[in-house]
Amino acid sequence: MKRPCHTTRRAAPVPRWVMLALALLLAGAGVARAEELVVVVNAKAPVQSLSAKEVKEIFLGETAYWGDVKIVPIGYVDGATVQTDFLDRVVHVTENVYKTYWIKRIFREGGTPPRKVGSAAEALTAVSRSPGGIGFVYASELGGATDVREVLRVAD
Amino acid sequence: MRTGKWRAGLALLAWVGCLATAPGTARAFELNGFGDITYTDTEAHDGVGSNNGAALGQLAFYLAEQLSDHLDVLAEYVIESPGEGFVVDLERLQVGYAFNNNHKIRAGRFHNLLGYWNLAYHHGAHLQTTIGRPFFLEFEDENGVIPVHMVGLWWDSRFNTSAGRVTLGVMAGNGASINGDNVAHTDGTVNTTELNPDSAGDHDNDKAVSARVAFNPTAVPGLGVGVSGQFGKVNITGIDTDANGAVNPADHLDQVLWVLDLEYIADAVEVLAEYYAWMNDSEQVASFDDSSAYYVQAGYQFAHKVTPYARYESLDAKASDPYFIAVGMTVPGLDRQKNITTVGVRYDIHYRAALKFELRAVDDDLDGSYNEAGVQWSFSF
Repeated sequence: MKRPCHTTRRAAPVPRWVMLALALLLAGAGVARAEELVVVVNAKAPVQSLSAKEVKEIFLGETAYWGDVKIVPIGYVDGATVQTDFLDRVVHVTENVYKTYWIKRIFREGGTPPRKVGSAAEALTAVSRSPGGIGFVYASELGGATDVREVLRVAD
Repeated sequence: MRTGKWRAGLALLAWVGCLATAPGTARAFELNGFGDITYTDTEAHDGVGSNNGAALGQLAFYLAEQLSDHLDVLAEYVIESPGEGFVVDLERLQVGYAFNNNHKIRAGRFHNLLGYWNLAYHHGAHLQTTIGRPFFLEFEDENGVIPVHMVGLWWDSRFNTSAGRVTLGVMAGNGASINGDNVAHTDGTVNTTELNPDSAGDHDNDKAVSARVAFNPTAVPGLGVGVSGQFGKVNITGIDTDANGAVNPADHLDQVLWVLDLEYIADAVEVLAEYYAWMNDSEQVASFDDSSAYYVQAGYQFAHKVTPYARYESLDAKASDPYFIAVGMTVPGLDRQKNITTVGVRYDIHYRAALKFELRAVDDDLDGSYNEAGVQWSFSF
């Protein structure tokens, strides 16, 4: 159906308080952050670098060992922005698809999904505690973390 | 006997509950599961009146635990109603040792390495797009005609090549048997017998071997092709006469069961197809043609929520095949052809719950032609 022609009319400016409220709302809803993600492993892990495909296979449970070392992937609690960003950029799935994948995988083959933590600090601690530890944080949250080694950076 | 099973099941549940909640235990694990409630309305057909009503499906619980870096255990048990009351069945119990990323060995009770469906959905109705399994893939205690389960050892190897992933599995364990109560029933029920995977011990000492090779090409993500088979001897006991009083033609047979499966599951598309061919042989019976079955299923998901789907399934059980006579799928003298056409819609309320609406048209040489409608609310927790 053809729409009637309109004369050009200038849109009214959006009030600043509306923009602020929108920004706060989006931040609370776990919207992606325009920041690099850093994948880290335990400092004793027998890997120096990993490709995004290799990291994806680890977080899908397809790769479970580095030689004889059992890999211990660390993820985040449901809804965490860093988790949804990681799944989007590296695993290329939504959080619900990822959770469904693990339900199916465990039911079919056994095994355990990535352990869930609540913050970047907890993730770094968990990675540093196990030789097979691997996790991810935003670049600004890496700080001076010790006992972990950066193996991959994923741009926004 | 069922009361005993029920009590044993309650004891198992209580034990698991105590383990999961005991304070101070070094290891915690999650108890997860699947369930469904299904309403079915079936038209009258060949001497059977119409029927409608709701039924609880299988309530499946499963536990998966990493015991050490290389050891893991998986248990699945189901609470179901065989018609009256409820029973608890231990469906799977397996302990596994992973040598590395490529090789793993398991011992216990598994789903047999036959085709795709039998290894993918197990007892979780929520995982499958449709309300039910193809009828010829039903579980042994639900008139099934394939040995769904096996008790023994399972070797599993995976290799990643530039062309794609190759998965190779071999199982060896107790061979199945067919057991009946040796009574010629006159109530019109055909299947009074049951295919028995001999999980409590191989009383006839006949073993079976099954194997599957599957390939997932890198060039077409989501595509899988598999070839599988089972080789073994099937002993038939307790069914000297079948439901119609005819003499059962054999008390044992050699069985080779071949399966070809093809699946494409990518983004919103799901296409599944499997073909089963039974090559049964018994010196007690003159030569007879091979029986076969297949299904083709396709669905497409819109907006991660709504999935219209369709399935066609067909079984051709030959008149003189002693295996299909013994499991009650046909009677002497009848080449039984059974076809079911299904159309339906699945609506995913949440990733853990879905509503499914189905219409089925059944065309059966033994039971006549009739239609069915079904609604299922499936969930996982």
